[in-house]
Amino acid sequence: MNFCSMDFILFAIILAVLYYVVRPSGRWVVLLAGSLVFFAFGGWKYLLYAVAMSAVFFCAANMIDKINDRQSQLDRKQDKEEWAQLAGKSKRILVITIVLVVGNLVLNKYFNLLGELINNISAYLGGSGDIVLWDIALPLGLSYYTFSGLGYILDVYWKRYRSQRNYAKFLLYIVYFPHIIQGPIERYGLLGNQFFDEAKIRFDGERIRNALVWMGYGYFKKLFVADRISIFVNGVMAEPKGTAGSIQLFAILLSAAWIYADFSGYMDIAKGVSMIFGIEINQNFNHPFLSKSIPEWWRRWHMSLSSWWKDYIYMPMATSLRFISTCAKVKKKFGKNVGKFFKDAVPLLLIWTTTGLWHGTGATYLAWGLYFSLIFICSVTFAPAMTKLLQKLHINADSKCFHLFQIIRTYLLFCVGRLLTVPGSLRYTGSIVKNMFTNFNVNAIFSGSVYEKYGICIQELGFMFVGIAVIIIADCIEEYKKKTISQWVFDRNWFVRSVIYAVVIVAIVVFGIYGVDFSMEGFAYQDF
Amino acid sequence: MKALKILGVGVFTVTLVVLSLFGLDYVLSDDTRSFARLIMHELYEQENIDSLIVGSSHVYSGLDPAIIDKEWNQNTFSCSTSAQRYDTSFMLLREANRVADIDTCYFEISMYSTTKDIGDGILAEICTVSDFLKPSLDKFTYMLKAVKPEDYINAFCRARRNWKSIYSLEEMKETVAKKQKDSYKNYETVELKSGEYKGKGFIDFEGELQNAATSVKGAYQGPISDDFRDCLREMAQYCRENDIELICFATPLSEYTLASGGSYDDYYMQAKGICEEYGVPYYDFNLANPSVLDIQDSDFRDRTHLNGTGARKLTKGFADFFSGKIDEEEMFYESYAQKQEHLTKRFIGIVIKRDESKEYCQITPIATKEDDYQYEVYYEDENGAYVSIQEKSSNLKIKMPKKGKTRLRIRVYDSQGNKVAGFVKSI
Repeated sequence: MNFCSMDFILFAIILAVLYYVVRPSGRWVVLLAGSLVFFAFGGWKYLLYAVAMSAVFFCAANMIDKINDRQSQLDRKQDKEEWAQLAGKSKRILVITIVLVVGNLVLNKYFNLLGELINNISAYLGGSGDIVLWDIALPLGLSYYTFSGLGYILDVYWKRYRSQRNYAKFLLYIVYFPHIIQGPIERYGLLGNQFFDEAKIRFDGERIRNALVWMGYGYFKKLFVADRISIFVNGVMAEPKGTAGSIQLFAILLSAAWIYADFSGYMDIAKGVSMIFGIEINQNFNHPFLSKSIPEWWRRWHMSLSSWWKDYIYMPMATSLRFISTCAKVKKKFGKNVGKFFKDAVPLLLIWTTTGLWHGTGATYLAWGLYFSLIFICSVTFAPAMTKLLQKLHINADSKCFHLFQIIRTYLLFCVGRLLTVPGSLRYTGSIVKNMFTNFNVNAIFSGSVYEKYGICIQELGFMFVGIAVIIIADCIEEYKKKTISQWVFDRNWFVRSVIYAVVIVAIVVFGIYGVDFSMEGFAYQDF
Repeated sequence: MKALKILGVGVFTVTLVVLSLFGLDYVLSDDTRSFARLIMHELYEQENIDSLIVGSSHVYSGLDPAIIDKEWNQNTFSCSTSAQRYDTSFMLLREANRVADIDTCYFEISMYSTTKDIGDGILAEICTVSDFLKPSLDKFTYMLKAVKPEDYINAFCRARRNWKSIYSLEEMKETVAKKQKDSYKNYETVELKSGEYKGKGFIDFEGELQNAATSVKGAYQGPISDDFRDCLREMAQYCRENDIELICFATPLSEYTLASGGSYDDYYMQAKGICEEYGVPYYDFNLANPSVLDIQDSDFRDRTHLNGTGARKLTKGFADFFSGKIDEEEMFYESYAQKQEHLTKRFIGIVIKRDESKEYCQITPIATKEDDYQYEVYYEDENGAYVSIQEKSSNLKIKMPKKGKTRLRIRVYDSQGNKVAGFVKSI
């Protein structure tokens, strides 16, 4: 069920009414039923898949928790052997679960890619090449609930909190519909208990108003901005031949705005919908376009994924005794600088390569991961040299001009990453780069008729830029005035507030990209 | 207090949104050429309607209520619109019955509408009427049922459907200028391409059917849909409850359309059977006896619509038949096959289609009687000259000189060697 469909809006309204009709102690049951219905709209088999995966997490976490209980009753020094046995058992359960669920994710995401690769190699070597590929779509929300479940089981293993003993309550954490399609990847510790906090889930008109503002802003980002840009970007990418380099460059630059408007738009809708039920979900974006460096960008972009990756992969790896001793060996053998480089670079390389492969299969996403790991490594390695260089050139690193330069530079570096993935293949990326140098034709950007070839008219650009400007202004307000956009709106007087609401509603309803003449665009991150 | 304040902002916002939508609709939506607007306005002006006719474009181009009024000495109103769906016809019947007490409803059913499901509808088919229906719960429920959920906003908000007009300041200015004219405000007649709106839901069209050659078979579209069946049942029940006599009828289609699509009787028997099931009489003017109602090709403006001359003929026949001046046996054959037996020998047209390989094209002759017809075929070369590709022959599978689009000239001769028809067709 697409968040932008009328079905979803009707579904959300009906669910909200039912939610508040029921007594607070039973509201979580309504949410669970609603989430299961939401899943079922995507297909019964995906619902069963999610229920089964949840059962795996639930059982494993409870087994580990029981072992933790028994361990806590032991004296580590006196009952050393039993303690070690229990630790080993707990670790085995954890490892088996991780292998199972990660294997399942990898199989779902990469089976066809690997099969195709093996078939091609086999055919090249004269074999039959007859691995049968799966004709299935990736189960709805698989990545997101796999990560949520893994985080949960690791937290239980690390004794950060106790496991949930009620399967239905745990299932709600996994399948809670606002975050299941594109995240954010919620931690059990933050989300799991909110469903049962009767003080939080009581009806609150002000909160509902707040929620509607978030949803309205999200729909504006998605339907007015993102889907409008996507027509142009997809149109340009669908015409590999005969397109001027300047237009391709323009499309790549816009594609960054598109992915932000699309993804953050979804998050705002999800946040708003969740707020209606009194459940707060994590912020997934913190104005990434105002970042001054790529590392900062990734701390502000898809924050729940970055922090998940950091907490459950990067930190365990970087702080593991085995890795620390390896770094020490490298340092001893190759010197201090190489040792430091090794310590910084290896985890980053691993993190970014896997992040790339999570985003998509194939060489483009591998290249994307390597590209960002390279930028991260460079920014860590050359940071001291850069500081010295700025001092030498008498550049005030705290000046507004320099910040603006950094913001633009970061945006362009992000766009290079987009250039690697948006065209769909590295060969096409190469041809675009070549085209930018051999057939740039800057006049094409100013030629109205050119845009019609890519599905829009030049006046559409006006709408696009108005939309982008609204998002930038809203981000600046949030960043520099330290207010959320909903707070900023509520601070206006009633007349201005009403005008803002009306303008946004009319912009979405009348000028949004949906319905007749347009195919319903899914959200960019929903297929992960 | 706080709740009241929130409510106040909400009400003011809704008011602003509604006003904006009306304003945008005024500048973006050009309905100055819509005669459906005039028809609906006229409908709401009626104080009494004795006979209501509902149906598609076949009705507004085929029946002139003014003639019926003269013949019957009563008030007849035709609430027919382009591609009107059966559920829309039912909606219009209910609306008209609210406005004026209806005695009889003549419901046009054709194989083009009755074979479709409600879900097959195109939004424009619904909005043609719904844009001008007054707001009511009935309208709301009709639209919820008729429109697909993804089209709700487009259906209810006309400005949304025309939002692209905002890109042309000229177009908006022109729309506003046209709407400010008295003729628009007073619901005076609209300009139409090849006809003139005469009022009461009748358009007097010019033009004659030309060159009956097509690559599309005309008639029978498929079995009558269950949705139509349900709609007719509900309509019959509504009419019984409201003391309205419901009569179904079909307007004539050209012989070409009827003969080119297989057995028209398959459709006719189904339609008649369903109508009988719900106790509704059904009269199909395609089965009219030419000695009573003689509709020729020249009475059509295209393959399915009558022109003004045809409309006057049909209206007279319609009025005479339903007033009892002509009885059923005299007016109608029992089946289309029976009618064909009585038709004089005539070559009507051809259906011409390329096969899948694009190397050949297949000609299917359409004639009232079988004969050993001969075909001369030419194609137009790059210089615009016609080059022969088949001498006079009964061969119907023609080898094409090239795979791309070609213009063909086909001459048809009867078994006596007389030229009976000639067609030019791009294929």
